[in-house]
Amino acid sequence: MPLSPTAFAIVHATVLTISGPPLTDTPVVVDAGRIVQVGGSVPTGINTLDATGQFLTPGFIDMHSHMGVYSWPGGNGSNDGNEAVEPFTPRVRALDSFDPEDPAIPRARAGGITTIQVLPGSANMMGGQAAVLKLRLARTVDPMVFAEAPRAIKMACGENPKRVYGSVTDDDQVQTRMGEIAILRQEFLRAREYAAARASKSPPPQDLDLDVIADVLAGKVRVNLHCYRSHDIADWFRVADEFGFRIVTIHHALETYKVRDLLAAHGTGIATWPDWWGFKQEAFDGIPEGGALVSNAGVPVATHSDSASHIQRFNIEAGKMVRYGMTEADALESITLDPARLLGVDALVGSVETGKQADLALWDKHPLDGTSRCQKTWVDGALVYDRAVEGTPNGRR
Amino acid sequence: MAVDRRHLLAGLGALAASAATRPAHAAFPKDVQTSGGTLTSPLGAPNADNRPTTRGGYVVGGEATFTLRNARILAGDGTELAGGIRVERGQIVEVGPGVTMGEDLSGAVVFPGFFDGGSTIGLVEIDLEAATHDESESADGVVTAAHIEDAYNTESALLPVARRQGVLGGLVLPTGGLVSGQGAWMRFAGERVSEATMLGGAGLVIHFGRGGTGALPNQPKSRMGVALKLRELIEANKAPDPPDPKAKKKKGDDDKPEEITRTQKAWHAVRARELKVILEADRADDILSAIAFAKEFSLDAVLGGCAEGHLVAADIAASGFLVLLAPTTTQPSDWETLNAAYENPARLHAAGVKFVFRGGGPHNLRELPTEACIAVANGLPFGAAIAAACGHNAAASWTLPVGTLKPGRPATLVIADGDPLQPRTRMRRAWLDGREVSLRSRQTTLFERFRTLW
Repeated sequence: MPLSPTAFAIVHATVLTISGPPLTDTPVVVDAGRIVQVGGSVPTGINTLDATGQFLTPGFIDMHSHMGVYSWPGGNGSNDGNEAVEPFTPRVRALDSFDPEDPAIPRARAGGITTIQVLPGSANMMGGQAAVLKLRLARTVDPMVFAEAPRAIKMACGENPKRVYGSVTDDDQVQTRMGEIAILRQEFLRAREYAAARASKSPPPQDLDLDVIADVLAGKVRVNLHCYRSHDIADWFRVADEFGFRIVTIHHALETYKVRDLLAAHGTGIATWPDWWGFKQEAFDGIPEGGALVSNAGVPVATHSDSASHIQRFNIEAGKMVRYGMTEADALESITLDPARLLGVDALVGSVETGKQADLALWDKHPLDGTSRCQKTWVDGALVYDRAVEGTPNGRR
Repeated sequence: MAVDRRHLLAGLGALAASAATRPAHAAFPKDVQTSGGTLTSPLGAPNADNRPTTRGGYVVGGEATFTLRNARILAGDGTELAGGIRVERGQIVEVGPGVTMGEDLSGAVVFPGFFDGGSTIGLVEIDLEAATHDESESADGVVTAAHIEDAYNTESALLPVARRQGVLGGLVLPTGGLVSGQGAWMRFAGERVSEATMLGGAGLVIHFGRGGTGALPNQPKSRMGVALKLRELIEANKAPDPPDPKAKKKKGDDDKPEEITRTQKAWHAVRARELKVILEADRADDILSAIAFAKEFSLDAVLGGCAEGHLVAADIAASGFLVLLAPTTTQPSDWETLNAAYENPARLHAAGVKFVFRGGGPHNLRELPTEACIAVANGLPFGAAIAAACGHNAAASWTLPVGTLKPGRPATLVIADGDPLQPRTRMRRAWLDGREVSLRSRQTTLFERFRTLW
């Protein structure tokens, strides 16, 4: 098929494909938003970008972001991430809080980020639906939606829900971990009944909450569980086994290294930091080798930021994973292909391969070098950041 | 361990099949173990180090004598040299190309260790557990004579975690209120506070901007109040005139001198330039207010924070004040730091400002080198970054035995696999004031306990 007039090639870069070994001095041809060729000879007559001495990676994927739902500068006016009115609010969607003018977003693009999963906060046990977005240049959220991504939900356990609801003295709903598990089972029992009724000849009135939980039970919605402690993880696997739903990703996951065999057996991945720990009791046993230990057990490990600041330096976060025992290949995979797998978009993004969407980042040095800086970022073949033009995005909105 | 896998087969269809399968590919062989995964040597040598240590974290053995050769030596002042280093009874006796004997480091890096420009390490253990907090006295918003040494916990699990990445000490500061109390330079090792203290009474912490305002009785509610209250405090605590020896005593005069409170003494020391003030300010106009305040009363000041310092870099340079620099990673995330910029350290350096990096929160002071690395990525010369990360630049303001590798100094140094600022680099061994410190921590103990599942 002939190339379109907007086709271009990035030539002479070292391509860190992620799906295979690095390729030196290898052209990558982009057309109509897709990677159409990796290697070979560059078709004549198309624009080329000489990237001699530079490194081309897939765009990075952060599957735990609150950008847009806690826009900068922080404060009452932009706290839109926790609908803390009751422990189960699956009806709410991060999409409906998302502010595409958050000044953190252009800074993330300048760090080579192309896909984010925006999650509601972790005050609630079921905090709402996630928004998987591509960092396309857009004035509203709708054109940013990663339409092919499966639906996903944020859940949480442990200290947060009991802290938020345990302090409400006149309307106590959750005081303890055992209380959390009890209402978790209760909600899923209700949803199971609702799902059966929904499929019957006389369905009940539509319930926005139970609709979502029923779809979780049907395997149509990916569960992202905020969870730290190994004993919480074991508890939640017990409930998941009982109801037949799957926890796709455990987020933060600081004690998963203690029960990594359980994760491998359940087909559950993790999204974690390289080195955050200690900010609460359930985070006190976090160790920086956790990611490497879990990865070596055959479990997908995504490096996540959970921070509008650290998302800008995802290459350094991955570099620290290497310090603490991951191979360089696994560390790069933890910010590309592994989060793509956990989001269910690995057929489309996460590596530099023919046929994939052209989400790319170009680096002046190897990206695991902490002094490297992203020079250009493309989403679907469109240039969304160019350091030569924009410099470092600074300042206020 | 037998695990029921039936749920994987039950009704999850394509979702279960596609989600977490991780194809093996020849290019990146994975070291998958049936035991649940083990790592061969993630920590390098320190992890295999079973030498006994003191309760304070020193390797048993006292003052060290050793010689290292074939190293890349970062001297701390920004210079770099090849060669070796010779240490006798805890003192550096020779550095550089003349040292050709001893253990071959094969090009590994020797540097003077990292020293942090201000945190609450040792004063807090777990952020969300109130019972572990001692960093803020804040009784009424103005706390002048409290000292962090009276709260510092030498047993904190956070200290060895910082040490492991070569962060061997730092300025520990109280927080809260308009005036928070006095900080101290601390070693991140030592069994008793007296052993861990490098320099007490290092400075009185004062907050400009919104940081100084709040609900406490003596705390201002606005920036206007901050300026007013601080001037009133200074003016109310003018040091008494020295006694006039010529003055004749009248009969009946009380021989006892006037009672002076500890708080008054502290303010008198501030006015006499015997006690520094550490003026915390991030917004550009607050930095200027802090400088003006210090100049008005001729105070011996250092500045803390300065996230927007690059906007007033010339003013800071003209003041001559050292800056304890907020993390490079400070972002326009709140109303005090709307103009935070990655280029802040590079621009301050270009203007001639001397600064010391802060690593940030007490749990991750090991991020101090990363902060310096990010500054290098954004234009700060490497040598200047090392000088700002290793405490070298603090020497002009405080007399501390850190920050420089040269003969006659106590052996405070770290061996790193490579460039100590880089995220992939690991630390091998470290010495603090002539004694080796252990790089093991609660975290390495947990790693050892779970590296193979039982």
